[in-house]
Amino acid sequence: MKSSMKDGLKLIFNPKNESDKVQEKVIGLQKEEPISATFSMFDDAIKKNSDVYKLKKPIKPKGKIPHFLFL
Amino acid sequence: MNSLALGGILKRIYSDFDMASFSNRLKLQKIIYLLQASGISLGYTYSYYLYGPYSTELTKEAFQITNYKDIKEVGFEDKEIENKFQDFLKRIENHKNDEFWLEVASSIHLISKVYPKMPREEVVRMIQEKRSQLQKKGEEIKAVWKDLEGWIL
Repeated sequence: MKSSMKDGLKLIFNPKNESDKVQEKVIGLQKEEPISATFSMFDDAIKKNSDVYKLKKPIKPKGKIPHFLFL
Repeated sequence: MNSLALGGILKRIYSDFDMASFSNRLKLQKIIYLLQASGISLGYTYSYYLYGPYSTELTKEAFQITNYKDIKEVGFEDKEIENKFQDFLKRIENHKNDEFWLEVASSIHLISKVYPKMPREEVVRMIQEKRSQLQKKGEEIKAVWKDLEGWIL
């Protein structure tokens, strides 16, 4: 945490709040990963999501419910 | 489907049953899934969850079954369906209390129905990835697959 005095007003600046940390991570990732690899990661994520989506879709049974009789 | 009929069918599979334990609730979900997969529709819609196929309607109706002891067994008017049910009982007899088998068998069936062209290895991998307890069970999953071939697969 840094603090400074300017025109009698004490400014408190904390660069490590959550949104800064996220920004840093995103910038870090962009530096580390070549663009093609980043796109490939997105493709995988999209494919995985569509797999999950298909499996999450309700599956209805085929055919009518038969007539029962008490034994 | 009403809870009396559901209870009556369930009683022919499990002489004693309640919804108190997770294990019993899992067995209920998978056994009814497999029954429907064998061609006897009870009208339950399933989705795929962490432990495989799951129907919320089935859970609701099963919780309405009170006093399981007094529930009367139920059969099917149609002789052909009754015979199919008896075949189901025979096939399931050695597995009906095996939670691993039931979970894997119903999961294999559901994934194979959603992705008919998916290679077997890939289906097995999807099941293994579901839960850490299944990760080292590739061979056991393939053995369950063999049990289903010529029946519901």
